Amino acid sequence: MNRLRYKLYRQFSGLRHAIPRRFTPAGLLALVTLCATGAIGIDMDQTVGFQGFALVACLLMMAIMLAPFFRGRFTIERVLPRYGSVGEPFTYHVTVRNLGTRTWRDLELIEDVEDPRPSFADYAVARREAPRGATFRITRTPAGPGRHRRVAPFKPARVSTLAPHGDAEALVQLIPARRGPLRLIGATVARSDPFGLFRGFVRVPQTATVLILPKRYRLPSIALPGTRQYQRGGVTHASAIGQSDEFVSLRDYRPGDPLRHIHWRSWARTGRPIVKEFQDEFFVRHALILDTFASPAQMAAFEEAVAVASSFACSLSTQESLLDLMFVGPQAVCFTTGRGVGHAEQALEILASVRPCREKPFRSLQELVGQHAGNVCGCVCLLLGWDEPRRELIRQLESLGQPLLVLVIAEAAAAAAIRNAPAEGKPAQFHVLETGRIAEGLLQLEGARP
Amino acid sequence: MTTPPFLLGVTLLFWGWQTGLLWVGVLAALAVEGSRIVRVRWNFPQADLDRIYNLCTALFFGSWVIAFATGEGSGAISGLMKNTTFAARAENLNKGVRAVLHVFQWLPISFLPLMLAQAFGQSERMEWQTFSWWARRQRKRGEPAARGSGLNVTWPYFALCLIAACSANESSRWFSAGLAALAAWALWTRRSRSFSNARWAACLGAALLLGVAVQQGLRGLQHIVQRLDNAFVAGLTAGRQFDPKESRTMIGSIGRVKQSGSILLRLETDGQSPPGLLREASYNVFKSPVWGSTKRNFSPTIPESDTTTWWLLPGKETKKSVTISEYLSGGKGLLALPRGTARLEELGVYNLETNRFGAARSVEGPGFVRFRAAYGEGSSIDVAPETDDLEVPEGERPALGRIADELSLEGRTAAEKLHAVRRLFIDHFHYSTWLGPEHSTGTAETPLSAFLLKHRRGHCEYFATATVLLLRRAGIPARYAAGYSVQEKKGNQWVVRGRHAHAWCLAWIDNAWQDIDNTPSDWNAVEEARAPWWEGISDKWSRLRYEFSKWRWGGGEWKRYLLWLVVPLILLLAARLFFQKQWTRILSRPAKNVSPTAWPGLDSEFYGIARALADRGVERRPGETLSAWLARVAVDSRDAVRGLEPLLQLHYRLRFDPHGLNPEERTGLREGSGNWTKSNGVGRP
Repeated sequence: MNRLRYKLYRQFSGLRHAIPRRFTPAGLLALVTLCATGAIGIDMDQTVGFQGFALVACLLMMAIMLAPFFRGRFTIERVLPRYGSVGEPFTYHVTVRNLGTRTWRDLELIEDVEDPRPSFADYAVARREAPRGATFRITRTPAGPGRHRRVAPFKPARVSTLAPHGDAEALVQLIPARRGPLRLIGATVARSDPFGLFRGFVRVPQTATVLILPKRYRLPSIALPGTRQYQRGGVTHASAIGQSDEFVSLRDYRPGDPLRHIHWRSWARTGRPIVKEFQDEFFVRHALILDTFASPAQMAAFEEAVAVASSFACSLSTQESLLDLMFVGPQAVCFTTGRGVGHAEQALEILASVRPCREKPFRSLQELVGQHAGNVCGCVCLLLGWDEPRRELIRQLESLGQPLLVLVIAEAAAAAAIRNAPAEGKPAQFHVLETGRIAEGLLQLEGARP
Repeated sequence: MTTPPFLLGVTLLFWGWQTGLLWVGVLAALAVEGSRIVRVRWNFPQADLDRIYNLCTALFFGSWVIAFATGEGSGAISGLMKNTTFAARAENLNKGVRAVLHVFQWLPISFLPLMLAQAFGQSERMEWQTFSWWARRQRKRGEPAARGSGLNVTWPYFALCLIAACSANESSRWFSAGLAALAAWALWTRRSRSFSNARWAACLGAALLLGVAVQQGLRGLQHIVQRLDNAFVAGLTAGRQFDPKESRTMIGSIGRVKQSGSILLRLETDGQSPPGLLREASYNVFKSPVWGSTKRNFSPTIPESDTTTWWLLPGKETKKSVTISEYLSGGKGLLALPRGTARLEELGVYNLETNRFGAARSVEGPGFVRFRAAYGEGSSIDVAPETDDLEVPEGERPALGRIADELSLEGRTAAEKLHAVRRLFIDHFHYSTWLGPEHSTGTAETPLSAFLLKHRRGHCEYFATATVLLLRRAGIPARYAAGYSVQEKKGNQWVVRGRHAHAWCLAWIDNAWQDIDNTPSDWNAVEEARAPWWEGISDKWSRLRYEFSKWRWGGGEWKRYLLWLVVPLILLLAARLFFQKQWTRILSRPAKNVSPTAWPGLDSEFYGIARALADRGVERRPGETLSAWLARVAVDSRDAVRGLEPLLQLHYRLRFDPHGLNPEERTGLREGSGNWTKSNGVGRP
């Protein structure tokens, strides 16, 4: 049964992909007209619909028959940006070169994206994981929004006249629909038939990848705690690997001092071990804890949580503070940005590829946070629910005396339930953000202080 | 509009011509193409576009309601559910299809407001969310709208007009030619420049020729299907209306004879007793299982000067009258009349015809009629007996002979013969709507013989046919009559349902045709017992439909009043558009990508100070900030800019602070600027 369903899914999604690529807008209109006149004209005694049907059918037939006669030879060269962002349109140029001796007019360029459809195994898993009755469309993968959707829909780009052995530029515009790598496997040069209804294709293989970064929200000025804290390793921890080189003074050796700090010349002079003393570094360091333990039903909330995390990673990592991004994927990850250690782009790259964690228990996040909690002076927690394990994590952080800003991201119904839950266990800065109204919710955080 | 000039106008004319709504087409074409002459463009906000689309949707669903509430469509759905025979359902389905086709034909009208909004609006495209309530709801919930370039409805509207034209039934060569010409015109504007014009024309020619061939092929296919289908369809003579040419009986069939409980006729009698039987047609030739009529030509009847009174038997004195209401599918159909009807009054049909066998039919008229029939004993419009009225089919003679011998009909008077036949059927026969396997004999014995000699049970067609043939055998001219029996009183009306359809015998006695009904009188009870439990509900619906039809087809002037109701509505809408909405007169198309943005703080009074300062000779350079400029002015004359610093701060906050100024600060800026201009001897900006 599943196999049949998968086949149907592949067939339908394939058609949905192919029809708008093959047919021009005029062709699509003709297709709709064909269906309508066909339905009207079934009873030939009642209407003359069959005459319209015959005419449109023959025009479309002619157009489809002429499509394979398009035979050109082309190469393409893309000038691609490294990154794009979800929801933000970006454009790039593609140079199309004509290798043949014919002049081509009115060509179009369509980018070919890697097939986003899941394999049968993935599909079966996705179906198993999907909540019952979550979907009624057989063509739709039940994995929730975003997972197997095309990264970005491409519109055909117009290519100006191509002289023999000449080249022309096409401006491709796209609006990424979801985060992650956008893999282009080639491009299709298309020419429509004389009537402008159906496109004939010449495929040009040429791979390239653009990383689509998560969507970001504008964050209000959130006052994260300014208490500076001693950072072991000093400022070099921030700018390079190794110890701080801000020399302060010399002092007598105390057991436990590293041998590297012994000032040999002073030892030689005084006869007793003398070590160099360095500036202790105090600066602000925050943790951004992202809850990746999303059930299939929580995919929308998870995507929003990643977007919010990206917004924090962009806004908070200034030159003055460090930000530790912590989440559990296949491995537990703690990535530090700020003060030149890591750039916000790197954090975004990581966030662009973060997947929900289904293999490990929530406890692993708690352990990860426990390891690093001592270094930080404030935590921003992005949670997907307010159940016992999550409460336990918050209790643990509170017991360490950490100032907290807890943002729970959930669907409207779940959000209402969390808001109405008893206040016991909720920290002072506890906010619920509703999917679809995240930007509004974030604006209300103005002045929030963990 | 993205279509070439006049294409849409011509398409609308073509549509109007094909659907018989030429004037509507002309007006619509003028309105749409008028946008090329009238240069006024409206700036429709999204909310208005949403409303216009809602209006179109309302018109579309309204057209469904009108199509199914009036004319043929009204009975289609209820008939489809109530009727149990396949033929009746097929007929109702056909009616439904015709109603749907009307909806298709009106599509260009339903969506004209949207097209006009596109033609006279400023924006090139309408947002996708205009066409989707779901997307609109998402927008309201604050979810980001799906980004896209939207839709220009011009080309879809063009396709819609063609589809609507295709749903007409004006089959002519001109239709194909017009359609091809419009398609070619549209395709010419969208042609690919990769091909020369000659190649384009050749391809189009080939496609059109192919189209003609496919049309012929489809016609051929239809003929084949129809031939195959004919044999099948022949067994399914359908509809509530009897056919004046022939009546296919269920004699010899097996299964249950089922009729619907829907109300077909309503009678009002002013307290008199109603006529027992209402006849629609009679027949004189029996070829089992079909009753037919010879010389069945109809001849027209001339109405009196009031055009609603029709004399069928001029000069006949009548004592009784009955008011009959019935539906005429498409204005055509047989009228159910009592025997001996002399005059029809208040009958609003345009053409009435009668035939030699007493059938009166409307050839052209409204979908519903309510008329008074004056009738009385004695003469009727049926012609006197002919030789056919004594003809007994060869196959039925042995059985009829045996029965006639048993009854010893020879040598009796006509009255005695009638009595003997009547006693026979009442004493020895039973009414049954269940036709068991015994009714299908399969041997040389005819079904009627089996009925007469063996099982002696059947429905009215058996009784009527047997009576007619027995009387003929006994020398009394007789005919087979089909119509309805009047037996149910509902309120002050008598109602006739589908299951009251009946057949009986007409016999020529004492130089007049008499109704002889030998079906056992318990048939009413048998039929009544089969009334479904929901009949009460369907009767309510039927009543509603009846009242609506009376109102719709009544002689009132309501249509004119309706028009007068519509006129102020249109004026109101127009006034709203003109006086409440922004409209601009543009001499040429607005340049693309111009999006006027209302920046906050453009009303700041500080600009007045800036103008005043600039007038003193120190011009602000392009790209120079106000503070830098003021600093430059201060180098020349410090006094000039004294006290401006706090005002500038307020101005900057008004312009760029997302929270803006509070009312006190705003007043402060206004007053401060006023004071400065006053103290510096400059008039108010």
